[in-house]
Amino acid sequence: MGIALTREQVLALAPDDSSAKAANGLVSDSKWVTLGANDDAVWGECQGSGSKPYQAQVDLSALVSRCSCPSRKFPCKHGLALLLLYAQGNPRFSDTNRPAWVDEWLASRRDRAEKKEKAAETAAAKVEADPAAAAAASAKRENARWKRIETGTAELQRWIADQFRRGLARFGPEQRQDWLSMAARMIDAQAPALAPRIEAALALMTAGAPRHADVIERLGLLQLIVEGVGRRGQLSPARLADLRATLGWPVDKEDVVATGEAVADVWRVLGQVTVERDAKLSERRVWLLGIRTGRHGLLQEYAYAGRGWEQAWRNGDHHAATLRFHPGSVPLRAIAIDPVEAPVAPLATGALDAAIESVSVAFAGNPWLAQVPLMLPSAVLSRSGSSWRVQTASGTFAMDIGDDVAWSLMAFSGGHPVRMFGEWDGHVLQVLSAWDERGSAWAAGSHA
Amino acid sequence: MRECWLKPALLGVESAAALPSDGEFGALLTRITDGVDPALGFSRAAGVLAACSLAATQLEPGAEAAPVPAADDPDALAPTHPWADALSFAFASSGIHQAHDVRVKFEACVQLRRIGATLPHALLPRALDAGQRNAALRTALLPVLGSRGQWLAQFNPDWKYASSVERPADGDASGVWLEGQHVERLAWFRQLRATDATEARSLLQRSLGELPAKERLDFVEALDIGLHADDAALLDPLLKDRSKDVRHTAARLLARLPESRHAQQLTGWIASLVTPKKGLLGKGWQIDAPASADPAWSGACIETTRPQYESIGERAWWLYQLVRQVPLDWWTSHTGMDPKALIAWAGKTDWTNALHRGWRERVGPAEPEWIEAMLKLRGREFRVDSAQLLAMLPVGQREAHWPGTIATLHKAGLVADVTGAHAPGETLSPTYSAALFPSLLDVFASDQLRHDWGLRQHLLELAAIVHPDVLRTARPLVRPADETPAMAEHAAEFERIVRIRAALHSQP
Repeated sequence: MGIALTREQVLALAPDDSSAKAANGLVSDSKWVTLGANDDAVWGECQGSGSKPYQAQVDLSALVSRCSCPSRKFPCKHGLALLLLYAQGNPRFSDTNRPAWVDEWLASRRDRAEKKEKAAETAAAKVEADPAAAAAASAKRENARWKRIETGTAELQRWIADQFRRGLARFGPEQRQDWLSMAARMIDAQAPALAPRIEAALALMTAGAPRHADVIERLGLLQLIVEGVGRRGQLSPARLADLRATLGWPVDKEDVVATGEAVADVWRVLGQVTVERDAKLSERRVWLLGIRTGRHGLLQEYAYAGRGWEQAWRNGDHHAATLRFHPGSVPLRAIAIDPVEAPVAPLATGALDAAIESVSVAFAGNPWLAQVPLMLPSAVLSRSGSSWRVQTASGTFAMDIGDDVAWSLMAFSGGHPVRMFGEWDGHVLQVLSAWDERGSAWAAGSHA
Repeated sequence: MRECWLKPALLGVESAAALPSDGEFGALLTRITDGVDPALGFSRAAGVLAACSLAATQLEPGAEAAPVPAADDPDALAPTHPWADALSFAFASSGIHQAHDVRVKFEACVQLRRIGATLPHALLPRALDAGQRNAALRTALLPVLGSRGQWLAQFNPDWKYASSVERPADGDASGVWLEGQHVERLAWFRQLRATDATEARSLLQRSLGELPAKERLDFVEALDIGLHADDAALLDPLLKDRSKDVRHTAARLLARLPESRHAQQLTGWIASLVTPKKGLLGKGWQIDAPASADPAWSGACIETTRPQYESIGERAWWLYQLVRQVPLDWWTSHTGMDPKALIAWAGKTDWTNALHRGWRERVGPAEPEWIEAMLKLRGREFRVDSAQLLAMLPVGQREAHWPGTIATLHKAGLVADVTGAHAPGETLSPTYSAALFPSLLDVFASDQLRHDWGLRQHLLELAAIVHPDVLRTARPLVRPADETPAMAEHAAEFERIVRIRAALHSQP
């Protein structure tokens, strides 16, 4: 077998608990018509409800799977079950001759990668061929987009002022639609990332009076974005990049790969979270820590309609790679170039106050960041009434945590101080991983 | 956030809000709000405020004391242990609480305890949830929660059943009695009763007044352990307890103490009704029901008024209440007949129902001869709950009543008996299992499971109670080519149970 996997590692790939549960139900010899594996891939045909079995396959080099089932989850239950069977060392994986459908897929993955490279080369060639024309075309496109954004944000500014003029206390169910329309309007105005910000403020509005202070701040941050759009000509390149990212302006990946700040290091996967944005879109955030540089990197990816992730990142794994950072005042989001598995290194401990200071500094650099990484060297999870908190020597963090995840972390920590890593959005902490003093690790989402 | 921000935002910004104007921050606010529409000025100021507050991370003071951490838990099963995966699978389906699922979890706990280990920490929340939903699981679960599990349970009201009081050193467990949950107190009391029956009796005597009916009943039932003539003093007043169940239990116990007033009254009444007779075929026995109600019955747990729902007549009702109290050995010694003969004799009298029903209620695990006789007769009173009757027999004896394949068991309508006769944690014998198991695997190849939902459930339960030795002989199931998704799911569940159990019975 090419690589050794454990059940926990496989389950860590599951997009949610229900997929992991469904996969467990398929870990049965009798479900699989064929099974096979070689050094590059694992494959199998799983009898589903239809007459034709589903063809599931996993590219072992990146732990990326594909399946002929209609599921939009990624990996789907068949892919997970296939890996679980493989992890169990099931003897039926003896067939090493790849069937045609596996070959086709692996070949198409290779082709796609090559095509991408070629496209980048072609684009570069075009620019080289007539740089002036290319630049002019691109500037025209940009201007058109800024114009639409400007119209949209001007409307947003009037709307925000209207909310304050009317008074937040007068918010009623009939205003809900108004807020949602404003959010939708931002998508039309080509500032799509503002829509979820308005929706998040709306969620706080409906949560009632205690959250009104948060709503004022959120509307204030939106106003700050509007101001930024108006003054974009005077902003530094880094601040302009912050603004563009905040508006949801797509970033040209090739550009980042070619010109982004490059940091070569061994990167430890600290933690990750997958969020379903809507029925069709999932977002995955993988947080990395540079062993030598101490830099944090965020691999933020989106998958539409069950098209999977390019690569699986397992918590605790180390990868030697160059990260190319997106531009901005506080560069966090990055692209990993050719990561290669590297030996595990001990996790360095920083001081608590330095960690808290680092998130303040990050937000001081860019108040529009959706979240910043926070590593607490020693923190205790506790329950107060029906809410959960993280207690540290410097104070208490409010949390964004589901009960299932919280009980799992509580069982792991036993009320002892543990090292916790998570995302801090300025108000609540979402814990993604934890380590006890013996070095055992816990990850949110692996409690299926 | 100070009121100067909140108030205008909530009530409506009509004129320039009075925002802080001191220092650098104040100067900035004045600069960006000066001369603009008040609401727009407020939006801008809110933006500055938001950015500043993000840049100065503020934590709430740690007002509450952190919980006392859990004690070390060296017995928790290591994640690398060969059983770890099987355990994880056993507790994975916390959403399904069908009988077989509870059995698998129960067995997993028993096996863990056998090797002196406790549940891995990662499984504790799901295990505690499972115990909350199914009380039958708790006896096995509680000993393997370990210190971490008990510690965890104290924080969730749903898991109260598992949070334990501080256990003092051996010998002085009175802390459990004073502060423990009912289940714990009962377990402790039963133990005390076994080692020091007198002390247990006087403890119960002192506490009776404080106990609610349900708990009173459990403790009185526990007096069955080491029942002694001296217990009569405690039990006698309970014949007038407010709770009917407590009255019945006390009466049944007293009836077994021949010296007690109650027992003597009972035997006096019943002996006057069961009398010798001479017939054409020689000597025999006859029985008559009481002709009229006796005022003394009220103190002996016999009701004179027949409930409306009762199908038997008034005299039969009186007789039945007498019979269900009289110990069964009175009948054998009084008439000289064995249980089989007595049951047959009762069938020929006018009072068959009252006798059979009374005996059925009186019989216990200590009277296998009676149970066997009842099972053989398969009379109405005995047949309907043969599973419970079988459950009172030792495992080996039960199996003599069952055919050895699932097809014949199913045809005779006995599958529910087989499963019903085994409490969680009990298994069929190796011999019977070896005969039965191959036939279970064969059913999957047939078409029988397509519509027989009941049989599907039974198969899963049988997979959970066959002897672990036969699990090794499991082979991949052969299934119909046109099986439905539900059939496929069922087969996978069957295989899952077999796989988990086989792993949990492998060498640790």
